[in-house]
Parts: sequence; structure tokens; C-alpha cells
Amino acid sequence: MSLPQFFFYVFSTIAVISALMVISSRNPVHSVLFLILVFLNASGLFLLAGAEFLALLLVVVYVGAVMVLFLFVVMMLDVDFGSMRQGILQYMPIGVVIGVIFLLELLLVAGSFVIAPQLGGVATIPIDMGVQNTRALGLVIYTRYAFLFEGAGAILLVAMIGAIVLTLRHKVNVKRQDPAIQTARRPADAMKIVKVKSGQGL
Amino acid sequence: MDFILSALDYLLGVPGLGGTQVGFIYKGLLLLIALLIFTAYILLADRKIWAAVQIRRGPNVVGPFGLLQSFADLLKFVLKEPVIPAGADKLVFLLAPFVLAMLALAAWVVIPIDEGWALTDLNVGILYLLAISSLGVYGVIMGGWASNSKYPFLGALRSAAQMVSYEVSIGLVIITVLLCVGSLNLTDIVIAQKQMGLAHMIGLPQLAFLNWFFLPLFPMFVVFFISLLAETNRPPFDLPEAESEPGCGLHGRICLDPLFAVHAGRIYLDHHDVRAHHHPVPGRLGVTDRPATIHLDPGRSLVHFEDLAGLLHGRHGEGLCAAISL
Repeated sequence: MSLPQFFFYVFSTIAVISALMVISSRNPVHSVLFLILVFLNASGLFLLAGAEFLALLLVVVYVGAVMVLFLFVVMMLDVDFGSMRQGILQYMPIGVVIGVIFLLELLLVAGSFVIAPQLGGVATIPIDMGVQNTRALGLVIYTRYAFLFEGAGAILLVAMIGAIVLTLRHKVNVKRQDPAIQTARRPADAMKIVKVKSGQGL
Repeated sequence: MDFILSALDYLLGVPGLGGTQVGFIYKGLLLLIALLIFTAYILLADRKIWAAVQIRRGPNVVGPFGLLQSFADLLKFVLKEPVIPAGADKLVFLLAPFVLAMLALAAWVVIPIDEGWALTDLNVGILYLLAISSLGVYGVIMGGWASNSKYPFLGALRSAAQMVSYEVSIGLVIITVLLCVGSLNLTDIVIAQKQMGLAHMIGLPQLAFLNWFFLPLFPMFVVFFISLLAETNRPPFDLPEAESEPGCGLHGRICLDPLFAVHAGRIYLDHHDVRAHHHPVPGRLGVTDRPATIHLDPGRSLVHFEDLAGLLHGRHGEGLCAAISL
């Protein structure tokens, strides 16, 4: 056993165990924390495969951003386990059927999966082995797949704007500050100077 | 068995005793000790400078001019009785400060101290720094949530939201530097600054600060500096600890426990006890090391940045807090 092999087993064992903990732990926050552990170990596996850019990107994007949002939502929600458990018997048969079908499909795929022999060792885009990971990805993404890449970016932008539009709402009875009006106010608009004679009211 | 031997050589090797290289552990320990001593004095400088700003004396009892104050604080934390709130999620509660301190120190692995002196010369060093600093949020959220109290939790949410949002602008600024250099390796970036800097161009290499990228990318540097203040929760961006609140944000409930007391990282978390309010310094160093290598010269600029950040940091509440304990 070599050192990379040893680390492969370490990473994959921890990943599998914590993946099991994700679905078996009772506290949803613990589940999310275990999911983060799974991601970290997956990035370790990427690193072993020589894809250091992907490995660190996985950490930055998924662990650093997506899972933080998960954690936010899960922590803010006050999950009531009692009511969640109520329908469990009712949904059990459907769940079991779907699970079994999914398992069979997975087994079929895993059992019959072969790479066509004529494709072995042939990459669609020949990559110079001396080039670093990041550079190689950049060279492909910004030349050959430039339009697809830009398209993906545009779709994400539209999705973001869509989410903002969907969640933005102006309530009627909310008082809002308008700085422009406030700064445009002059003393003459705001107050009246009155001379009051002594001994008399207004 | 072969791989165990090579691994041992990598970790513990001594060139004179049959090893082929200087062990990783010794280099790491050297860096760690230097870093912790440095941190102790940065803390002291922070307290002293802020004391001066608020016309107080600051720590001046332990050692000459209070120079040993940070070490006295460390001793106090080591010897203090641990307090874990009854309703706390114990494991997560204990894990949170560990995560925070460990990540802050882990970022230093890729910082090039001198040519060929980075602990690991990753070719995606910048990405590694970004990844590590984005993980720092978890320490904050976990600590806040595990305390099982709404004030630390709200503080943690505020702090986490702030950290996550300013990551983005910091990342974008760093990309401009990457575009100029054409590499993600920190050593490459430092060397590139040397070669294409202004001082090098006008033939005055001793004016090294003119070489740094903050000059050609000045607008970006301004954005970076602002994000830096926000990321480290320094004024005017110190939302996570609201002035009017008695608790200190997410740290409200984290006190000391023997397990981590040994870990010097605890000092930084224990605002509540130090009272003179320092920000979690490992986190701050984790951020400051970025300008240290990118915009400025490694090593030298750290003090500079800490001081700048420190000077902008003053609030009534803190002054009062500090005055009570001193």
C-alpha cells in the first residue's frame, strides 16, 4: 500500500461513514455538519486524483457558500420532529418501493458499466501534461467552450434576478425612509416662527 | 512499509541522522511559535494603541510596560475553570473554537516567508487561502448555535452573514491580482511583484513598497481594504457586536474549558474575559495574510496592516469595558 492509497482509504471511509450519519442523525444541524465533512473528504479525494483546482473549488463553493446557507436555514427553522413522524407509516410503502427501484437501477448501472475499448486513454481534448490544472481548465473553457460558459453564466444571472423579483415585495403599511426628501427639506417648509405676546397664548 | 518510512522522513527527518530533508514538523513548529509570539504582541499593541486613543494607560502591570500581559492572559485561561452552558450542544460547542483557531493557523501553510520557504508551495495557493477563509464561517456559526441562547446565535448570524458577503468582493479583488500575475502560486505572485513593480522599473529596488500591487491596482486596493475591515469586523463595519448590547455577540457564552485552554487560540475567542475586546486574532491574521502577500510584502506588512486596522477601531462601549477591568 502506498501513501496515496492509504489516504484514499482514509478519505473514502470517513466520507461514507459521515454520509451515513447525515441521514441517521436526529438533529438536522448535525446532519448538515456531517454533510460538510462529506464534502471535505470528497475534496480530499479530488486532490488525490490530481484535480487540485476542482478540490479547492468544491471547498470554496459548496462548503464555503452553499452549506452555510443550508446551515442558516436549518438553524433558523424550529423543526418539530413529533409532527414530522406522524405521517411516516402512511408514506412508508411508497418510500420503500422508490428506494428499491433506485437501488436496482444503481446496481444495474454499476454492474454493466464499461468504457468502450476504443475510447480508452483518448481524451476529447488533448491536454498537455505539463500544464497546470487551473491553466488547462482555463484554456479549454475560455476557448472551445466559451459560448457555453457564458451561457451558463447568463442563466445563473437570470436565476438570481428571478429569485430577487419573486421575493421582493412592497408592503403597503411599511414606513420607509426617503433620504432625498429628508435632505431636500428646508427650515421654511418645516417650521413656522411665531411671535407670542407676553401674557397671551397663541 | 516503505511509505511509512518515507512519510516519517517527510515529517520528522533530520538530514544528519539518515533523513533526506528537514522534517515538516520542525518547520511548522518554528512558524507556529513565531506566529504565536507575534500574535501575543499584536494583541498587546492593539490594547495599548486603543488605550492611548481613549486616553487610558492600557495594560501596564505585568512586566515592563505591560509587555508580558498576553502571556499572563494565556496562563489565566489555562488555569481557569471551564464553563459549559447546561443547554449547550456540548460537542459542537467545544468544536467551534477549535475549528476557528485551527483554520486561522492552517492558512499560514502556504504563506511564503522567503524564497523557497513556504511550508507547502501549493500551485493553487490563493485558492487554498480563499477556501480556508471561507471555512472560518463555520466556527462562528457553530459557536453561536451550540450556545443554545438567542443572543450569541443572533450575533453569530450577523457575523457569518458579514463574513460570507465580503468574501465575494475580496475574491474578485484577488482575481485582478491573479490576472496581472498569471499564476495562483503565492511565491510566483511575490516574484512577479518584484519583476514588474515600479521600484524595479525606476531602478530603486530598495523602495520595495513601490513594487507591491497596491500601486498599479490602487482602486482595487481601496475596495480590498474596505472589505478587509468588514471581514474582520473592525469599525465602521462592526455589526456583529452591537454597541448597545451587554453581551459580546457570538462570544457571549463561550468561556474556557481545559481541553482547549492549552490551545492558545482560545485567547482570541475569549473576548468576554479579556474585556479590552480584541477581535479573534487568528481570524484577522488569516485575512491579513492576504494583503501581506498580494498587495504588500510578506511578513513586513502584517504589523502595518494590523495597526491601520487597529487605528480605525474605537467605540465607547469597549473603552468603558476596558476601563472597568484595568
